Amino acid sequence: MKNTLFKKSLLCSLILFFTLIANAQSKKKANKDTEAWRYEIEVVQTGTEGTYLIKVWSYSSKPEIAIEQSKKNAVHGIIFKGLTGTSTISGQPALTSNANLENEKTDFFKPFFADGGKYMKFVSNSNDGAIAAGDIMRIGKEFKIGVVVSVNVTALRKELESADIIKTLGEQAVNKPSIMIFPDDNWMSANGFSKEIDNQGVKTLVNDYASALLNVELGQVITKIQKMMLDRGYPLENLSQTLKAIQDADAIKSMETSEEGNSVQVSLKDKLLNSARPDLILYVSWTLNTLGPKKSVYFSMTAMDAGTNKPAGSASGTGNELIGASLGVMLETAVLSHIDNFNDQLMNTYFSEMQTKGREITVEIQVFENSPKKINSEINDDGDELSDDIQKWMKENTVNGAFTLQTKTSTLMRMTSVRIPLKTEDGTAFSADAFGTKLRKYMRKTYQIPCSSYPVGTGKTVLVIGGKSQ
Amino acid sequence: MKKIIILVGVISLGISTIAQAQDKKVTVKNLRSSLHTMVIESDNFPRKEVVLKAFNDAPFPDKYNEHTIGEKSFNPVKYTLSAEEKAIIYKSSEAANNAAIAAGVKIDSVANELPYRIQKYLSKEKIANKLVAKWFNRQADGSLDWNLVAERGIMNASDIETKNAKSSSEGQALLKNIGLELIGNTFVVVNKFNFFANEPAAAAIRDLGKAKLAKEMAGQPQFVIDKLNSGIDAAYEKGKEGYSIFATSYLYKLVWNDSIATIFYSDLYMEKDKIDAKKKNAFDNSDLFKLEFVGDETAVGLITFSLNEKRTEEQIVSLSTKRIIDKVYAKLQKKYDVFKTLTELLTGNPITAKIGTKEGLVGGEKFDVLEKSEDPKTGLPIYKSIGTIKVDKNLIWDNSYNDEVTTVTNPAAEGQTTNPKIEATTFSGGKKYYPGILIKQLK
Repeated sequence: MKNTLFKKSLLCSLILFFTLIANAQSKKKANKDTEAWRYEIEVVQTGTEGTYLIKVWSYSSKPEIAIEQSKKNAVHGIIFKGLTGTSTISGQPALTSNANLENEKTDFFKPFFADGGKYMKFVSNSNDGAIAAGDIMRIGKEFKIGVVVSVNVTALRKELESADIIKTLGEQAVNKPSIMIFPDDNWMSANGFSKEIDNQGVKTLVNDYASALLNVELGQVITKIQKMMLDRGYPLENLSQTLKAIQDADAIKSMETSEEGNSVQVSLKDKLLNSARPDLILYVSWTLNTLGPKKSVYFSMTAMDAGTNKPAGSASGTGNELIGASLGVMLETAVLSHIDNFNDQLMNTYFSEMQTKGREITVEIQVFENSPKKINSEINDDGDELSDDIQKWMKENTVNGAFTLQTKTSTLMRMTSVRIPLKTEDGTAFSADAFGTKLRKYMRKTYQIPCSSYPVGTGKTVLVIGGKSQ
Repeated sequence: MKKIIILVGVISLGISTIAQAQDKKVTVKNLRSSLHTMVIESDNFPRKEVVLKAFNDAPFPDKYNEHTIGEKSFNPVKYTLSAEEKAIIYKSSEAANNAAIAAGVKIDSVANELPYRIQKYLSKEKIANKLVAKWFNRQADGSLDWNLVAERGIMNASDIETKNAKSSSEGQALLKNIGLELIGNTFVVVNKFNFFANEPAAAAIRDLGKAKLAKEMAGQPQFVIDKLNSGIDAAYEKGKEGYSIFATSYLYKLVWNDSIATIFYSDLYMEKDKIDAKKKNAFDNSDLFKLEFVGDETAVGLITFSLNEKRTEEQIVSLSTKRIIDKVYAKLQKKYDVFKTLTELLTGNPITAKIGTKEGLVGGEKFDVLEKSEDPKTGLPIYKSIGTIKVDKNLIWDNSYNDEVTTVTNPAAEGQTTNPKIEATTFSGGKKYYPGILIKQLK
């Protein structure tokens, strides 16, 4: 009897031992696969705010282990690989474009992706680990398993930013450029918010932003984008508040008067931009497509540099064709779906270029009627003209001496694609206005002529030599 | 009997020209079928009213969406075929035709032409249009909406789909969209019941038996013959009661594909706020929608009355009718993949899956376990059966309402007994299975 009991215990112990060994081996193999990052990821749907809903294909001889490894793979994929989109669901960029980041930051990533590591904070199985039919396939001795997970990208990005692993968008932008969101002209026209007026004999379309802002969906879209851009460190100029401010009669009157005291026609959008002076204008637009009971939304967002009016980034696409989804839900999905791609373009194209090439502005030099010096006045015995010295100064004070002389007459000099540094020597933000001031001081000091300078928007400075403007 | 065989042969040959091959491709998504069931009227069967009432009152199987469009019966006599139509039918089966004539079977009969007459009825009465109208809740003014499509989409959603939708920005709208995929699984089941009183058959058998007995037992003592004859009489007495019931079901499928759907949405669909008389008229007269013949099934039942029976004859006929209808559904499910429940295992040990009462499970149902693997030659996925599992009748999940959503009423609240602890149905059948593996209902 005693002998039988002993045999049974021994047998149980052996079974337990081999089971543990087998599990440990499967785990070890899975970890090995994870170390080689052997997985594929694909987008499933647009996740709820701040999340990506993805399917991760992992490999293991034990399905249970693959389910757990898939979480690790998902987080890795979001950081380093990004997601390819489908015809109706936008792909997403990787959190870093640095292909070597994992090796450079081994001290961070090794414990981060260890079993039970911090990665677990940012990922969850969206359906308790259940695997859909067709998402598990035996290949030889192992399984290829697709598991749907939800990754909290906002929290993950913040974690990596706070650990100084990736740069923040604001950091990349340096002076944290402000953004103002506008509905684009096509949307305004299609939704009946623009009307044709006779402007001194010329028919022009005038947008009624005040009425447009009463549109529920537009308000919803602007609010959602504002929230998400603020989360990423962008200061926002609020269109609605700015509009209210400039509706003040005095403010409008002051803006409708030129430096010369002549009354000029200024469009409402120019008034808004002059008042808020954003660095970037973000135009949003959408079209609701209907096919029987199915509805889909084509959504686009385009950023323009307010100074140069050149594109800074764009994202667009048509979402799922759905029945029973409100326009609000479809628009929110569109914003969530496109915002990270959009920010990625701003960060990796627009701001990145700005970092290396400097901020692009336009410089215009005008000559006062009674000015003792004109643009073509000779300034020395070598026959150099004032314009030559100005160009020399521009070469010395722009990034890589980059600018293009577009116009040169005796009273006007216009330089475009002027690349100015983002910061002053003491590290403070450097603007087009500050650049104009610097040039004004140089002219005053070198030629003892009175000058004035003023900015036009955020991307242009005007210098008037030979007199002070009123 | 000979006549019947020939007749069946004639019909079968005719049908073969319109029957479609079943799609053998393995699908992994369970799409509930929507059925409109009908019965063919005829004047020559006993207890007609009882049978029709039983047919109309028979509970609709849980695993299907009831898609009744109002007309539950029709008389094929009213749908005569033109000379041209007849020429096509009989030409296509000339050999069988001649054989039938030789056997003395009347070819030009309603029974012979039934599948064609049904097709004629479906076409003439624009049943396909009515099925589509039902899907989109068509009103007298011609307006349509998507509420039923959405409701069925939510109802059809698997547990995984429901949970994924909760993690997505578009949420429940993704589940509603599933409803659009269900339209292609709309069927009309046309049942024909044939009742035969058992007495004539029993009498024929008795007479045949007695004649044979007289011949074979010639010269034997009379008391032996009498005893054997009394046995035959007893068998006759037992067998003469009641009726034999034959149910033949003709299955038709709504033809629905992307191009039809697109034409419908573009040219015929309108909602309440955009009523267009031209579109209404166009829908009414449209030939866009069609039903195609899929196949037929026959089931046989016996209605008997015994002296000990406490139920009335009417009750017995009614019960037998319902039973034969169940038999027909079971046969259709066995024959056609589209009616078989498909899902994945939630866990391998114990074997559980997120299906239950909504899929019509009552216990004892068998499922084929299909493992997906890679074809070593082509690299393409293939499914191979690796076993069979059986539903444990005591551990069935009541999923007749979707607790993740709110639009479907909760039958439990209306007094049904449910076990709140069961959140997946348990199966018996081994320990070698794993989560995600595909299971397909066998019968």
